[in-house]
Amino acid sequence: MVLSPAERSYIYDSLKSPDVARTDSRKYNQFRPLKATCYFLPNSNGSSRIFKADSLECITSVKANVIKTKDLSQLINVEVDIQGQRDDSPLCQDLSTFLTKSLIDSFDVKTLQLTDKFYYQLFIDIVILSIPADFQNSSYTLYSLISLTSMGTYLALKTTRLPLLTSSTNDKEIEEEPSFSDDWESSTYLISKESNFKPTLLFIVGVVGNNVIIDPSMEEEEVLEHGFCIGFNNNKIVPPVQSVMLSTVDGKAFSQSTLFKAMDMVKEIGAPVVEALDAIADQEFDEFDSAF
Amino acid sequence: MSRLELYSPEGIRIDGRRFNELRQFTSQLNTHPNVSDGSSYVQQGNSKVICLVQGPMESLSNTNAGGASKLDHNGPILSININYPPFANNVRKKRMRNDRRLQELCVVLKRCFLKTIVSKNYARTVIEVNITVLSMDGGLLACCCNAITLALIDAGIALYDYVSAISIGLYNQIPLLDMNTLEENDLSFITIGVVGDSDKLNLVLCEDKLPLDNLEALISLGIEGCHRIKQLMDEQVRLVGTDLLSKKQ
Repeated sequence: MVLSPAERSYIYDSLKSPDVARTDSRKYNQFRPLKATCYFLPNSNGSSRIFKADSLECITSVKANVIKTKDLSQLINVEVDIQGQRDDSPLCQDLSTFLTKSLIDSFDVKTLQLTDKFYYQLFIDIVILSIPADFQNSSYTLYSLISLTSMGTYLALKTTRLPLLTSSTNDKEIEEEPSFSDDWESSTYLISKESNFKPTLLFIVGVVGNNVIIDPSMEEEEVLEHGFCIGFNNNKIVPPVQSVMLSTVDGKAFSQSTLFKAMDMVKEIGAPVVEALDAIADQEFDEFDSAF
Repeated sequence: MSRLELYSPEGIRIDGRRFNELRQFTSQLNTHPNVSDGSSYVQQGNSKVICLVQGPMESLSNTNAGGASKLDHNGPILSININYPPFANNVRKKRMRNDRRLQELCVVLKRCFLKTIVSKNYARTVIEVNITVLSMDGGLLACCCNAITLALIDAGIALYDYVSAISIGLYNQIPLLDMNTLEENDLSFITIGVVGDSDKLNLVLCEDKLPLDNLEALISLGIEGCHRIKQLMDEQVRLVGTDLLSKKQ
């Protein structure tokens, strides 16, 4: 939507005020409602569908392949496809690199290790089903999608199942191709339930004056002065911590204190978000139930 | 010839069906009420397809070039777009956005639906159809066609009747209804779309060689299958319709 100058200044002033009055009366650290389902793609190892009430929807699939390298940048491939946008558009490319980098930085190579020589290669494909119709005419960018896609990736990775390896894991001396069990019932999780490793989550924080807000909506993005993308893993802030342009007008510099304020907020809300996502991933879904 | 036994001497196919049995058909309407005017989800066996319809509207939503000059005075401009993500098939394969096979399918679907939509009601408008294939296990065109029919109904666009489509293959003189990927890879098949409960075909596509003397058997089995699918879609539409009506009161 395109806001009039009066609307802009109204939203700006209310966001800037000390009690942070948001357009949808959320608290500064409150997300919009999200819904998610998993395990609905029979042709993929892991899948998730996550969507917001405002219609942005993200479908993620994880497919695994076996290759003979341990270079993480080859083992993890993320591709983002946004309906109505070219594959090589800056938005798609930026989202892909953001996610790839954040995953590679913290990924535990051991989870991908199959045998001494062979590793799993993961292809993470993300489809954004539709973008708002007024996207072309408006000043907000869609970088707030980063947080939605990272949650989708988190769920998809959490629910990724791989067939059981039947050959031995020790193939340093012997030339042997890994072989797998045909039985899908005996498949194992890529990230086992006991493991401490968790994929990195990315949070998008908007900055207005001295205030920071999580998960800015479209209207709010139009008046934001700045935005941060902050990674969160195992109760810690992890790279990337980066500034992102959430709107193309009114960019202003930010102070050190707002950056720390944003990081503190992410630290505070990160754990409940992880908990909620884990609860969704633990739910039992039937592949043949319709996810829609 | 494949090493798989596609049709056993007892008359059982590779997934346990008889020659004239459909796969499980599930459909859902109005799945994305906020982003589109009409939306649907169709699942035939392991094939899953989402369809979003925008319109009727004055100009294409995402192209700035589509001005009023391009509009048709006699009927709607139908733009159909199939999005085939790399994960939809069993083996991951990236497709170009202008993949020729997909574009051909779009043209076939467009011709079919221009005859099905009551075009005089939609002069000088644009109807945009976006299909996303989530998972494909045979019957791409048939799934897309069924999904578009449902999404158009959900969008409230006037149609003369349902178009329901199905693929039928040929195995040694025996027609097989609703093929899956394994069967499609080895056998030649034809996809037909039937208008409502009639015997009229609005869509026929055959990309393989088929002996002409078997065509009639294939099409008559296909028509039966289409009628069944039409029935299933109609049930779903009525279910959603009564649900909507009860909410309004």
